[in-house]
Amino acid sequence: VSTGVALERRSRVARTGVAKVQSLSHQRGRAVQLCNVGIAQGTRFPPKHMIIAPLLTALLLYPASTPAAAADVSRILTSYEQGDHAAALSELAAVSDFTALRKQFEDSGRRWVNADPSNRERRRLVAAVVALEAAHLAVNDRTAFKRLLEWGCTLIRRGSADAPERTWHLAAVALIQRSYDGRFLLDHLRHAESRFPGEPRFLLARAVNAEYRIWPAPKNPVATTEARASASGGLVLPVGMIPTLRHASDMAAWRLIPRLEELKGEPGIGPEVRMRLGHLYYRIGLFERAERELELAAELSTDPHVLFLARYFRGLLRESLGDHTGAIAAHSRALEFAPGAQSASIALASLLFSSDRRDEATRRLSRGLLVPGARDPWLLYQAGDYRSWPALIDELRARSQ
Amino acid sequence: VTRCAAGIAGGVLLAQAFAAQAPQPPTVPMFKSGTVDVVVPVTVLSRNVPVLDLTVADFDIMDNGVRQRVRELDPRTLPVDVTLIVDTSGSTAGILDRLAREAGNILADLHPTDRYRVMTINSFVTEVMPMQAVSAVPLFHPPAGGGMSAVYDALAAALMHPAMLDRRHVVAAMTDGIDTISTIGLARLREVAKRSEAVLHVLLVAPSSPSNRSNLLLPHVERDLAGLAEVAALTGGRLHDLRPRVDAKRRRSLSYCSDALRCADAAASSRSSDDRTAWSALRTSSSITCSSRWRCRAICSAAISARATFAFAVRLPNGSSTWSCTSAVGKRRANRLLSDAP
Repeated sequence: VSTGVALERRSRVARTGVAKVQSLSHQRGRAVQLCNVGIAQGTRFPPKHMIIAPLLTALLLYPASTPAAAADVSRILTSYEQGDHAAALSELAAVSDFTALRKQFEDSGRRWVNADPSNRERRRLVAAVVALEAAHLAVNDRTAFKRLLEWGCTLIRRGSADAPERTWHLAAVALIQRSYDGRFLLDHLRHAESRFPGEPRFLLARAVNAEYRIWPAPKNPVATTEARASASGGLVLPVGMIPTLRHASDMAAWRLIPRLEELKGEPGIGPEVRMRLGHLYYRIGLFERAERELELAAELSTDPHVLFLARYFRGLLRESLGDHTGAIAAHSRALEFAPGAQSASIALASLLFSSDRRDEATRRLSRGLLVPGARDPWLLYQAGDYRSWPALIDELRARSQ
Repeated sequence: VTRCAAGIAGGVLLAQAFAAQAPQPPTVPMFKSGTVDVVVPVTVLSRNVPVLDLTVADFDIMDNGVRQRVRELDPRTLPVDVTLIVDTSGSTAGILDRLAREAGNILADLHPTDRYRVMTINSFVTEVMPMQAVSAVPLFHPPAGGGMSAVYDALAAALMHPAMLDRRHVVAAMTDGIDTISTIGLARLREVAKRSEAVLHVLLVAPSSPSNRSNLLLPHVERDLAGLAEVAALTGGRLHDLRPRVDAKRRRSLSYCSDALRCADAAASSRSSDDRTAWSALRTSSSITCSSRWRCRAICSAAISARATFAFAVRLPNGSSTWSCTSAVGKRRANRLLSDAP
């Protein structure tokens, strides 16, 4: 509009246009139409204005603050505090500008927390949890996502390091893992670990982050001997071969192994660590070790996510060894823990198909496999704890009432 | 008329006289004899591409070892089932409009009797439109892009889709070929392609942005174009390079469902079914032997039991080899693939 005002002095059309844009400030569509008309009537503009007119159009195309972006944060927080999560979430879901929302959190959110001094601790938790919910919706808007979580983190760390705060950090870590922003994850883990030193899930999150940096895993790796791999520090190269990025990635995987070996004994995360360790051993070709770890993970765990992945990786491993029968059995077993998981289903169907068991392969594929929404632990493998997000946010909702 | 009536009367009397003099034959079972036309639809494929220009002389139908006369060959045109795969992962998110145009070109080529379905590739392989008739002008708008690429998984899922008895199955996959999260590798995909009844055409496009291209430097990100071309060739299809730097002539939208794919050779045999031994054995035999580099789809008509076994031989146009096999025709899957030896 300011560009238009500059034009206003020189052009009658621009003057008229600016006036109309101002009067139709909430009707962007019509305003843009108006400017397009102005451009079409370009002969009435001096050449300089011909250049500026598209700029005016671009200016008008810039998204204005929508009513949804101007959500009332105080009302959202109050609804959430009163247990009306649905109302609060629907209002958050209507937000299109999360940057504006974050600014509102900083202004009216803080005021809302301080408005009731006797209830400040709980209000602080409520505001931090709502920021978490908003960040979940803004996961594709990186800046707003980070700012919302940082605001919530700062807020919740003002109280004592209690169980709700621990849950909040676990949920935040899960969410950041879902955004695959490794640097931000490490930043947040520093804050979280300063409050809860030695928390096993935070240690595991660091290892998962390191593993993500060497993503994706190679397909059908080749088996090697332990002595050979150890002697070369993970760099297994035929004589005369120049190391490539692929080899560097395998070396990084090799370096990650000691960290996971240390975590095997941590309470609560042992089976998951073994499962991930088994996958790492598999990708660098130490199949015997891999199989041992995967078997132990399957024995020790009761988590369907871990049970599925341990069996699924074992299926891939057996296939790499040429044992199709073993691979089919392992994938079938994996699917007992996550029926319809696409990864194991396609792996199993392709093995059956290649073994001329077409009808079985077709049956596997026809069970609603290609319908989005089916749970597949493999797709969440690199997202770490994000699989626990529903449970964690439910717990926080219950605590914040 | 008088002479004719006298002749008939004489004939009748003569017959009665012979009947009176002849001894009574022993009681033997009487069979009604006749000719049954058996239609044996058959498709001869070389790497999933029909072998055309076959004549009656190229077919021998053996019914339990008894050679049957092939009366006529009736070439037919088969409708096509098209599985359209569109890569909507992060690496192609910037060219979805172009992919939609290419998809529209392919769908516009379909005949009213054809069918199509649409699958998308990202982290998850999704069937966004199930197999359906081309009733109106088919429209397809790819969903918003993003995520990782399960290219090999999508191709395998499409190639394993069973073909209908009376239709061809063509898979047209528009992708940049970058795979980051598939379960299966190229080796397994090759095995699937060898056995698939579908013809795969890969339409290769460039990644949509420089940042996506730089992802190719990441270790273990697969983009084995030669491997993909080999997989397509194994099914009788090919890889079409639609990247901008390729000659404009090759960038044109291709007619993937070509008429050649629609053609089939249907052999109709006329058999004299006096040989009851052969006929009954035909119903009970269950042997399957086959060895050839050709693939053959044989469809048994209702004239033969649904679970019957029949044999036939095909001499291919080059005349170098005579091919023969015996096929068990399943109740539902009569188009069982008989041979997949490389």
